[in-house]
Amino acid sequence: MQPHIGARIKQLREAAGLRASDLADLVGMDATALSKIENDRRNVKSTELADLAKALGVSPLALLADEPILSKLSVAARRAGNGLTMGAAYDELMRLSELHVVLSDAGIHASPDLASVPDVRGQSWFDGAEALARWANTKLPITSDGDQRFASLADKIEEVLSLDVFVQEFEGDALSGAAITDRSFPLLFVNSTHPRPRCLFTLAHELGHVLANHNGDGITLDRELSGSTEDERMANAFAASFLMPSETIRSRIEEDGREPSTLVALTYELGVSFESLIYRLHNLRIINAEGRDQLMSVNWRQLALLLNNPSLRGNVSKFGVSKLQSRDSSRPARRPPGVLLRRASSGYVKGVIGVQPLADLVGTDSELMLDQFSQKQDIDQVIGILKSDFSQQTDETPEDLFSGTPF
Amino acid sequence: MLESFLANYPGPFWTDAVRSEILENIGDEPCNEILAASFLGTPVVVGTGDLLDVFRIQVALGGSAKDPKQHLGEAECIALADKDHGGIITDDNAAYDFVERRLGTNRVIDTIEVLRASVANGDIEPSQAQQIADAVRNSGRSLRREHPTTLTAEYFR
Repeated sequence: MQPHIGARIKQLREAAGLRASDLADLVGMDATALSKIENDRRNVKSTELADLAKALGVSPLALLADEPILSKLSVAARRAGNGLTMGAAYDELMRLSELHVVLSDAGIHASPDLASVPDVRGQSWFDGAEALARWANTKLPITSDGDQRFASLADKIEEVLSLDVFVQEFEGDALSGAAITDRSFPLLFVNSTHPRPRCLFTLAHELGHVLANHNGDGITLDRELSGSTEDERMANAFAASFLMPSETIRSRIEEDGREPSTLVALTYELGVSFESLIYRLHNLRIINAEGRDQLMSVNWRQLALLLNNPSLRGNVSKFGVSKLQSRDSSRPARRPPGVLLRRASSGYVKGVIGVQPLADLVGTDSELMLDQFSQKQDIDQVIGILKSDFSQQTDETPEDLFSGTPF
Repeated sequence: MLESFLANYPGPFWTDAVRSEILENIGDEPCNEILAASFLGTPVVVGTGDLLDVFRIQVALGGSAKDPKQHLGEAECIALADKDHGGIITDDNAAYDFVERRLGTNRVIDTIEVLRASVANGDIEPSQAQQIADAVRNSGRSLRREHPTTLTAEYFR
């Protein structure tokens, strides 16, 4: 018999505030049978285990082995409240974590590169956020402007730090973002149901949680980025400092003055909302709380319609103006977690996983994917083709060269 | 035909989770026939010690905590086949592909291959095999995607 299954079931049942008889009723099992299972005096069938896991809101894998990440996800969900655990976004995070566990158990691990992140434990939330933002601005410089910043930052996070970034729209879901800070599977999640500037801030906020290694449970589920705890304040301060560096804002105001066009240009270039920028001006003591509140009362979206006037748009191009005007209705594209996708591809080739989880990650149909994979291709054959001499032996006409459909 | 085909193998031939899935559809004629098929023997109850492998495979097939019974029957069969050096019969494209990759090409067959083997053994005629395959499709079940839409008796020789 697998040791500890009964103890795990009992522990999770008690953590969920359920009596044994409650759980037995939920799964349609005799209370005596459940008691025997909890005390490891009776084997549990797979179907029974599936029912128990479902009733307890955990993965069956978490009942069968010490899978810290799966247990932590359930604990974080319980702490965050039912509103977050009932949604599709949470289910998807659970599914990705289960896939990670299966790949890890087969030796296909994540390998995040976080060794050079400064250790900010013991520092105040503000100093820690500033230290991490300085490090991030050096390590993850975002060179793109405006709406390109979100994709650019997500790319940098995956390329430089090998962290997973998962972006998907979950309309109406209470979960706006999440960070798995556990070093075995660090992942940032952004619910792209919100406008692009908010998504950019959420991405940076979740990055702050991972860099600061927040939360002993290893997972943070965010409904609103309200700064209600020190960890949340730190993540917000990190995001603000990283996305809207003090020197950038101060030098732009010094050069261009306190003009609407300055605010417009900064908002566009930094890819943030007017609201985030106004809060940042207050963070930096450029304006006081009253000034912040008065600026917040301005209808910036209505003003954005007037930006075709060159005196209002300042250095922002006409193209930039149209992007800014459509920003509130623009959402980041779906993005599968890239590191997990690479691991899953490797797992598929090795027979660790089937095509369905891979297709789910990519966001395609598994039958379509099997069609694409059905013709076995030998890489040596491809290399052979590429290295063959295909220089033209006869004169081909432009009509020959451009005939056919290139897709 | 299936009874005759399976007689060449020691069994077991199904598991408790597979039986549970069929029981959920009790009343459907094909399900009733399977439940009454004595040649399938007693379904195997997977031991607790093998459950971790079962649920890893369930995730590998696309199952998740949201619906922990999805693919559970297939997962049990694959876990047992892996442990006991057995094989799988399936018409599910994804499951077939997975078992091929995980256990090897000689460890998985589909209905068409069972029919071909039965023809080769002399248990049925090619025309009967064709009729069975057509009946499978006509009942709303699908055969694997690599098989042609129109099957002839020759296809089973």
